[in-house]
Amino acid sequence: MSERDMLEEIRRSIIMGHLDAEDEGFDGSMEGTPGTVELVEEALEARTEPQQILTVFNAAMEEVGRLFEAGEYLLPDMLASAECVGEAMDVLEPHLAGTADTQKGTFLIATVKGDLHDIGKNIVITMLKGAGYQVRDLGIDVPADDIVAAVKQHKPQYLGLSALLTTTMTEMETVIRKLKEAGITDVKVIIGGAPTSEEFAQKIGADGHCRDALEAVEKLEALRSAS
Amino acid sequence: MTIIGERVNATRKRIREAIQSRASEVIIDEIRSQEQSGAEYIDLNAGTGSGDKQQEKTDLAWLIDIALEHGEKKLALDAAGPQVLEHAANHLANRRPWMLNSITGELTDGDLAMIKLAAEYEVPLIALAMDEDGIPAETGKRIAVCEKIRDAAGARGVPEERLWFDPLVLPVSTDVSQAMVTFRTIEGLRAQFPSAGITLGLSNVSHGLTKRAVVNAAFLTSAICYGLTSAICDPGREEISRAIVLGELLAGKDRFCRRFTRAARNGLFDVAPPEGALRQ
Repeated sequence: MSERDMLEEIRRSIIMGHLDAEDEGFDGSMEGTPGTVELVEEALEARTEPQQILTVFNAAMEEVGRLFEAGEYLLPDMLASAECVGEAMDVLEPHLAGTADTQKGTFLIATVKGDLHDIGKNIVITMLKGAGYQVRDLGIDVPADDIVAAVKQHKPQYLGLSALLTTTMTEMETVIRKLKEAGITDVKVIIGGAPTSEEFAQKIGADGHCRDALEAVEKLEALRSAS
Repeated sequence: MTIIGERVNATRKRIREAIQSRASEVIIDEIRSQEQSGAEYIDLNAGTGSGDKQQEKTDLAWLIDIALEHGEKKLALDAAGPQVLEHAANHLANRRPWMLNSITGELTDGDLAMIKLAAEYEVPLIALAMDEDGIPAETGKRIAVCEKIRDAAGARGVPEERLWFDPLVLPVSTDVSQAMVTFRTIEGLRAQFPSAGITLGLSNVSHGLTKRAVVNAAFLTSAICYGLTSAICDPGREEISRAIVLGELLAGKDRFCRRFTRAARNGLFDVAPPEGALRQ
C-alpha cells in the first residue's frame, strides 16, 4: 500500500470509529479488519513520518465534528472516533518524542465545588485526548484551593472548569480570583456547562467559553495558535 | 443475546400441518426467515401431540434434514422425552452444532437420560427452574431447583457452562408480582452460576392480557437488564427486535450504542401511525 493510501485508510478508520480488529465499527461490518490502532502501527513500521499521521488524526476528527454538527453522527459515534485517536496516540507518542510540536499541551479539568456533574466534563476529556492533549482530570466537587494547588503542581497550559448549576457556576469566579491571588497568570481558563455563557466567561475573567465538547477543542486550538 | 428461534414448533397449527403433509417449503421458509432475523439457534419441535413417539422420531429427523440442507445455524432439538432426542442426536450425528431443549428439576429417569445425552455429545442443555411441584412462585425456590439441577448435571458430566437455565415466568394477570420474581431469579442465577447461560420463553408473562406483544417486549428488555443471555422467541417480530436492542443498550452491552443507533437509522423505531391516522 502506498503511504497516501495508508494515511487515507487511517483517516477512514477514525471516521468509522473503528478502534481495532475486534471492533465492529460504525456500520457494524468491520470486525476482523485492521482498525485505527493496527493501521497506525503498520504505517509506523513502513516508516511513515509520525507528524503526517498526526495531521491525519486532526483531519479525521474535523470531519467527524462536521458529521456531528450536520446531525449525521450522534454523540456516541463521535466518542468512538475520539477513542480511536486517543488509543492511536498512545501508539504514536513514543515516535513523536524529539520532533517539534509534539505536545499540544496539558489540560487540567474539574467540576467546581458543590457540583457533582461529570458527564459533560468526561465528554470534553475524551474529545481533547482525541485531539492530542495531555488531559488531567481532577474530578467533581473540587474546592478552588485544590484546583489552584493542582495548577501549581502540574503547570498546565489550560484549565477547564465545569458546572451545571446556576448555584455552583459562581464558584468558577472564585477559582479565577484565587489563581490571580496566587500569582498564576500563564494558564488559560476555559469554562463550560449548561448555565454558562460567553458573557459570563468575560464577566469572571475566563479566557473562553464553550457550549460543547466540540467547541472546547476549537477554542483550545484557537488559544494555542494565538499564543 | 443468543436468540433461539421458536417458530418451527409442531404445537403451531401451520407447522403441524406442514409436518403431517411433508410440506418442506413451509419449514424452509420458517428456518430461513428466522436465520435472517438474527436467530443463532433454530428450535425444532415435532411433537404434534399424538403421543406417537415413533412418528415424532421420524418427523424430527425430517425437520433436521431440512435444516441441514437449507439452513446454516445451530439447532435446538426440542422434545419431551429422551427417546425422541436420542434418536434425533444419532440422526444429526454432530453434522451441525446443537443443543438440547429441555429438562426440569424433577430429574426423572427421562431428565437424567437427557443429561447423559448432553454429556455424551458435549452440547448445551436447557434446564427449566421447576420440579415435580410445578413452577415455584418464589425466587429462592426456583434458584434452589437450579442448584439441584446443577449438581445432578455436574455429577453426570455436564459442566455449569453448558447449562442454560430457564428461570420461567408466570402470568402477571393472575399475580402481578411474577415478572419481578423472574427478574430476581435471573439476577440470582447470574450471581450464583456465572458461567451458565440464562434463557427464557416470553409469552407466558402476558397470558390473559391484551396488547400481549407490548408486554412481552417490555418484559424482555427488562430481563436483559437483569442478566438474561438468551431468549426463545420469534426474532422476526419487530417488537422483539426492538426489545433486544433496547435491552442490550440499557444493560450496557452495546458499545458506543452502535447497535441501537444503527437500528434507529434503519428505521426499526419508526412506528407506523395507526391505519387512517394520516387521512384528511
